[in-house]
Amino acid sequence: MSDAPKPYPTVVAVTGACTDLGVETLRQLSDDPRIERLIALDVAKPDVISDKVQFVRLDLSQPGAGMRIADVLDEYSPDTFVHGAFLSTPTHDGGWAHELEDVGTMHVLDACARNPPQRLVLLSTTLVYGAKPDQPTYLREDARLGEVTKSRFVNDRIRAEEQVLRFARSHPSIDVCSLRFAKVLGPNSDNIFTRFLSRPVAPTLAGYDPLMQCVHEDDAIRAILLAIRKSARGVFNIVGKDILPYTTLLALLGRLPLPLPLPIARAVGKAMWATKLSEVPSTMVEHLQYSCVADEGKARVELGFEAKYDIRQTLAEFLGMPIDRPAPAGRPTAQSATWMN
Amino acid sequence: MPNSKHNKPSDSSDTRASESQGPWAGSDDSYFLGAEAALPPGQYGQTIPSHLPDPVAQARVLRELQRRVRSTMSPAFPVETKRILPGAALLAGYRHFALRSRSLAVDEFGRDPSYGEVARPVLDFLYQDWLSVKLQGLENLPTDGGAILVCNHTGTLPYDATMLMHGIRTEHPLKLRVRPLLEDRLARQAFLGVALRKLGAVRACQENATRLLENGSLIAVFPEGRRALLKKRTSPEKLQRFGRGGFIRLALRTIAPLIPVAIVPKPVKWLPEGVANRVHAAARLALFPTPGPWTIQIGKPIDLSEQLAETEWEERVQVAQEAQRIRLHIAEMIQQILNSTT
Repeated sequence: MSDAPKPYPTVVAVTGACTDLGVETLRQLSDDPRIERLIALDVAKPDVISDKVQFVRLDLSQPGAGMRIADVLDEYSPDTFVHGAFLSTPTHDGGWAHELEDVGTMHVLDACARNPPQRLVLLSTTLVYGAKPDQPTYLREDARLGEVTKSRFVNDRIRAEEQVLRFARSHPSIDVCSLRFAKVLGPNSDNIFTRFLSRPVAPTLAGYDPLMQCVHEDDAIRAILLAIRKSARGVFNIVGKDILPYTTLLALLGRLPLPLPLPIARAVGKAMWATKLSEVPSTMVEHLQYSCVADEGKARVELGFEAKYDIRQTLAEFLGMPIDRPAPAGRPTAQSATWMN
Repeated sequence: MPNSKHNKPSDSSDTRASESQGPWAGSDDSYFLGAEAALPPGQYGQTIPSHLPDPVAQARVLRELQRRVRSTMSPAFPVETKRILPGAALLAGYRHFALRSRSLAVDEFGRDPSYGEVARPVLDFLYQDWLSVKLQGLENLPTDGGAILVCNHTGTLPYDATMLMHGIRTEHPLKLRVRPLLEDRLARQAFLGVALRKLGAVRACQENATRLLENGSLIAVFPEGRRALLKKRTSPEKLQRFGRGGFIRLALRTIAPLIPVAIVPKPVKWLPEGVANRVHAAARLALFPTPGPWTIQIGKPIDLSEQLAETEWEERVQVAQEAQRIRLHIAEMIQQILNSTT
């Protein structure tokens, strides 16, 4: 691809427009005077007040979704396509989730191949790396993605990501960018992590204390906007500043840890998932056992993204507490997190 | 829907017209919003220029209003206290309790300063009383920049790593920190792996080691690995193979000096030979080290920076040679210490 700067995005299509990230992206983009039109693709109308937003009903889990997207691309010819139609929480209906995430991504990519936009942004997650004991502490973007596990929730994301990476290789003229977000927390987010951390009691694995990383929802939105405006290419980890051990995180949130031995945790998790008492499948237990921490170096250097919130501020915002002061410039100390006192 | 040429976004009047149908077309709102009654644009006569402010600004104001209304309209879970649970006051007390022995900030590899403070008396007891470690050659450590300490192993549990870390921290005038690299088997171990990580240990792999050296940390590697358990009591100076020489490759790549370190427990002389062998075999499995003065000798740095190989195979040969050279060097140091103590 030539080094000439791409024209500024004017028409942006967003799938998953009703997701937390999608709707906030639409809101922010609708404030941008240079953006002429926003196409919101989802099963429901997103909660955005703007005359730029054009809602098109689209169910990616339906077989005809590919044709529908192709029609939309023909009609509006957006120069930027943001694909974020992914589930924020696991569902028991694995077949439907597979149609939506894996096959839905296929529909999107097929339509994009026929009528290529200039940019394609995938909203992915660092869960695709998996939490394994043989990983380096900081995972770079070129790390091996998690093996196909029993977790359908993560599997479909991995498959979607692999399809997009393959698409990027075969379409070098399109700026394909994949943003892998750490756990998105914040006052307005609603996903598997916020639900998990909203309970008064949180299970831990006895003897294990993985390092946890999260990203504030505002930082996540800023990263999406940066990727759209800068025509970023490649994969980027979008993570917040700092890491904390899981038990410290629970202590900061005031949640009671419930230490369980590993086999019991697996059995209980399986039983609770099977009886639909828990929203988290037992295959996510590995994330309570080993760390899955991503390196933010590439996003900082190539994308120019720097997180504004560190993990303690993110947790405070998640709880709805005011942040008393901004993070100090240097390495954080215990004194920098005084909000709990 | 009109065709694509007709509906280009540059044509603003058409855009407005299509939007009046578009978003509402499939929904029930169309009746209430009067979309059915809308006339085609030409039939209104001339368009009157709007005296209202910028539509974008209007939308922003509306959105803010919407948010405020939303936040007051959910009395069951007001936004401000949505995540704060009933019994928060009780939990605050618990939180204070839970945060006593842990820091609010850990370093980038998960070392927890408060945990180190808690473990300090135990380590002091081990270092001074139980093992009475003699630490020699502190002047060979570089005071700035990273270095790789290459050590021999002395037992099952990483008391050698802990003692080296604790000794350099307490005895060096600059209070240097050493980050021992743990092999996978230890790092993934329940309880032990987490405790060692909080004390400052890091899982051994090239990425972690490179990151530490780039930050100017001292790292300690134990290239013998688990094979060190095969060592005979009578020949502690016979070191096992030094892994695959990953630490040499690391040193070649990062131009960090290699510092040989010999960790030698006192040989048990006062027991009969057969009993001593059995004690040694048992101590390899035991959780607590046998008492006795330990000697930790830090050798002179070995600089590999001028000896970079060109091809991959040359480098492999060089790595093997260097690993062997350092292994023999450390064995020699151990032998000297054994000779001087007897």
